[in-house]
Amino acid sequence: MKPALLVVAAASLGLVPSFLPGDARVQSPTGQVFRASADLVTIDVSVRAGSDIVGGLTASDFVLLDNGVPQRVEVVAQEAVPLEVSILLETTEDVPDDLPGRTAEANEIAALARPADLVRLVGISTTVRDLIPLRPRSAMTPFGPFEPTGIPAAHDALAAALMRPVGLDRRHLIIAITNGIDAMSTLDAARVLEVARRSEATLVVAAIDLAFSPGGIYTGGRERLQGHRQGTLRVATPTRSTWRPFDEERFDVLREACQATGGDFYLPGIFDARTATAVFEKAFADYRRSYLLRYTPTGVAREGWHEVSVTVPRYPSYRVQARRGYAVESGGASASGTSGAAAGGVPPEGTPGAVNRSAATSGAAAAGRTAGRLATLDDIADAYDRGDYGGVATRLASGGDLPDLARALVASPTRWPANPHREAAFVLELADAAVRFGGASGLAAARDLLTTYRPLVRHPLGPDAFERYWLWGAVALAEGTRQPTFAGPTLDYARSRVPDEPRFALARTSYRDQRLSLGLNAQEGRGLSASSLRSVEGLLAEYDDATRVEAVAQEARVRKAWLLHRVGRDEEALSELDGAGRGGGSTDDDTVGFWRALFRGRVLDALDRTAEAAEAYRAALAITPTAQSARAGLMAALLRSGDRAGAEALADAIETAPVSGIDPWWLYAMGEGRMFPEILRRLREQTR
Amino acid sequence: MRSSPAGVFGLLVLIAMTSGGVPAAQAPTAGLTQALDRYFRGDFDAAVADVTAARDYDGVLKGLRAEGEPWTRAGGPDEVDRRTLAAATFAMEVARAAVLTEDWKWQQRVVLDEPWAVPDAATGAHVPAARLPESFRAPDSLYWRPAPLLLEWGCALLRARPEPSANERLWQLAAVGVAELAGDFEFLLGSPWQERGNAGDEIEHLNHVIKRFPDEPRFALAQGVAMELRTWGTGYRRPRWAVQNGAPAIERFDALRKAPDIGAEASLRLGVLRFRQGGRNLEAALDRLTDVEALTRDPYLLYLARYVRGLAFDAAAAPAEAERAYRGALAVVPRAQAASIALAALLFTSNRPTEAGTLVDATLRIPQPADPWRGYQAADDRFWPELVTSLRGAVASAPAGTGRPR
Repeated sequence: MKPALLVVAAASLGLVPSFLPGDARVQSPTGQVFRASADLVTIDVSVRAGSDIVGGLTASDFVLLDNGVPQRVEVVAQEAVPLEVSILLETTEDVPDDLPGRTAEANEIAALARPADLVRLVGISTTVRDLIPLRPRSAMTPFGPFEPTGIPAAHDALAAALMRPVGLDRRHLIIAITNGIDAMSTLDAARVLEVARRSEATLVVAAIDLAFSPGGIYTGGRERLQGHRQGTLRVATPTRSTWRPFDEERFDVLREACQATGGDFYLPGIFDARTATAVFEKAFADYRRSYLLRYTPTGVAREGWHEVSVTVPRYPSYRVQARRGYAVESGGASASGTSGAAAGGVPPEGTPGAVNRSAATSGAAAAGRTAGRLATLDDIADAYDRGDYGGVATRLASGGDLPDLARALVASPTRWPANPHREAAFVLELADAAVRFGGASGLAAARDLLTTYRPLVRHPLGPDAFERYWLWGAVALAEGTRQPTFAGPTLDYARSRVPDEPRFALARTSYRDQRLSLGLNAQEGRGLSASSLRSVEGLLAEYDDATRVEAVAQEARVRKAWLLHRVGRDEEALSELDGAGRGGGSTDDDTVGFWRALFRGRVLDALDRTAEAAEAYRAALAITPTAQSARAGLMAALLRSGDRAGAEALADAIETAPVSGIDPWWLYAMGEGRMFPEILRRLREQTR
Repeated sequence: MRSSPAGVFGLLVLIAMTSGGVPAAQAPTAGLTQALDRYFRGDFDAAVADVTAARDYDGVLKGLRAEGEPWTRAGGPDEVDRRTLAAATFAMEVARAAVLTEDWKWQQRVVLDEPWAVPDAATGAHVPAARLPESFRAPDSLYWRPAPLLLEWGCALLRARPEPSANERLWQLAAVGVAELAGDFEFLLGSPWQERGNAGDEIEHLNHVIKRFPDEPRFALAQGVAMELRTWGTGYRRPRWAVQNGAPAIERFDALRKAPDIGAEASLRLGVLRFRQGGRNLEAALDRLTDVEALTRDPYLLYLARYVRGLAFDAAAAPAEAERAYRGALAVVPRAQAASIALAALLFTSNRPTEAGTLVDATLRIPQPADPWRGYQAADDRFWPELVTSLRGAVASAPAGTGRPR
């Protein structure tokens, strides 16, 4: 936990305020002990006469006002305070030829730090990154070479360095080797200035790549090279591939930012030696001759922004560089990267409690997201995230307006923005609950939810493995309902979206097969109407297509056989079933194996091959011993073959057996619906 | 075209340095056909690395022009499709490597504010003139460097097949991504907005592609992306976010924002353009960026929409909304730099430096997550890993052209 008072320092060679925790004792490497009282502010101040640093001043020379209230200060020798030195090195293609030399200079600059100082190297390119994290100077080894890549995000680099947290017993000196031209940053120069005014660091920039051109402007090396190439050599301008969103030169603002921290922005011609090393040697020397003022604020409110001014009244001609103030945060600030809500900040879009713009300003887009409804959806989603799937089902079953929940889910920003598959799986969960617990309106809600949501599952390049799997879940759910208005369109969509998925092709055929009404004539083998015959032949042809695909061949043959049996073509049906058993497609699906055995029994019965039928039923019972359908078939076969005792014993067993398990025959008409629980289980696992 | 000796010399230098204008007359190195063989055998990375390590992209282009097509027939009729795909994909992989390190094109610009040597009417001698009349000015010429020409060589190889295939569709999607990574609208669209001195050399890649795949929505979107690329401009001292010639891109994206599969990205890019226009366009920008949330769950698009919403709110002096949007972006891609620094600056300047510092430390730490904003212009190049994996898979095993084109 942070101390009660959290202060951010804002200072530099100008003004570096920092609060140390109550009773903290910070031992500097040189042995000097800083004793901190409850709320201690330390501030860097530099005093110049002309361009010269003024030394030898004492505490009584300074007048420091904190929010207009004079404070009693003491002066700590700056030399005693260890540094954090951030070296920012531009490594972009803008400065390709010079990069080795600049890297060498950066090495020299690192060597200027004292052994107890901490040093880091930050690369400036399209992204800004720690090339070498903070470490003692004594642990630094020579770095480089670096490959020039990317374009400069110089403003972001400068601002990031200015915002970095610094050890309480240290000062932060930033030395940047960049021309300050920006092509990619999030922040403009004005925002860098705003940050600089509040930073505790000192920023010094050596813009050594720039040259003063005859047109009265500074130009970077990239521009000079191209100008030379085109104007002098008269050859074509090379166009690099890289996107360069803008080309911003705000040297005036950057200079102001540097100076606000007590540092400076060195353009060519302003310093004598045109090397970064020379610039920073001077910067180090100046920095160590500045003053560190320390005080405990009195007579001012603790929290909020503290405006600070420092003057040296006895020497009115001296120029004092000091930051304008510092901020004291309210307690409980978070150290986490993105959980602003926990820090008392604004919650991110898409999280509970976040009011998105549409909700705030555009009622139509808000889609009726009332606070109560959101809380319910969040409650269910929380249970889902905890893996409490029973809890999810309970909450969904126990009430709430499922259609409303479905609508709220689609209209809201996603709860899982970094893991969209998770939300897709949750949608199936919600649709399943709507089907099971929502009655007729729930069924419609489930259908609408899946129809509305499926564009959000589409992969931009075409169906990928996840979309295919999710559609399988949707098909399974819809087919399981056996509702034509749900199953039919869902199957049609899946088939058109993923035409090469054999399961969808087979599912669509079997669904139409289930809906085919053949009447008694067919069952008794007395022929079919012409239209029914056409339908049957069409379905048989589709089943034949499916038997050519290994993954679904066995189920296709079994279903085809059952259709053949239904239209009285039992010899053909038996041939298909035997073919399915001889390797007409493999499956580890016991349900299909059961169907094959059961149907063989029925077909053999129809062919008056009773003993073989009984064997087939026994094979089915070997797969699912409690299946009523196979028991009844066996009982009838035994009876027909004269084994009355066996039939009666089986009848007794059927009557006395507890109802347990599921008869796979009951699942036949559900098509892919029988797969839904397993699909859902796998999706839960895969999207966690 | 100007006729001064210096200009002629410059042009000769240029032509000598430009492979694109030189017919393929040299025999390829044995190394190139070996690389193709290696690629065809499935040793993809090594085959590409062999030729890219030397960075002799001119040599690769010349070699492919001379030997690439015969190589596709060297394995007999059964292998032609697969070898064609292999050669085209190999060329594209080399082109993409070149995009990252080499010049994409050269532009010959005519300078008018200098003395010119023009023939004297009486003597015929070249004498300096104070200024060349405007009517003498030749349009700028473009000279394509190897990367775009490698892409175009592969494209021509594939489109010589009578029917487009599913694998060609994947190849073209990847090729458009590579061109977007290069950030050059002229390669994709040609130069409809300005005259070029060598109009016959224009490539207009998307025109080829759309003829082959008229129903592919991503190629329609790519037209808009190319128009959007033009809006950024290329000069020095360009102001932040300035939009140049924005109307065609805005019109294009507006037409596509309701389209299936690409509507979200069209809305996003339209929102970005409106944000860049600023002022009274900010409200329209926010509307389009808000649309994205309901149209997609693609993290790439959600991050961008939320990040730019943050920028728009920032521009509209609505810091609480900006903060919420930046946090939303970071919920999609934690530690992403653009949103991290934007949020950090906002917090830092509103007296919350502790979290700002934490954000900064996190985003500068390596390894860093890819920030979609830093690759905004690269558009479909984000699909490169999966597309090249699919293409390599097709080269290695599946017969080319067996899938269903869209």
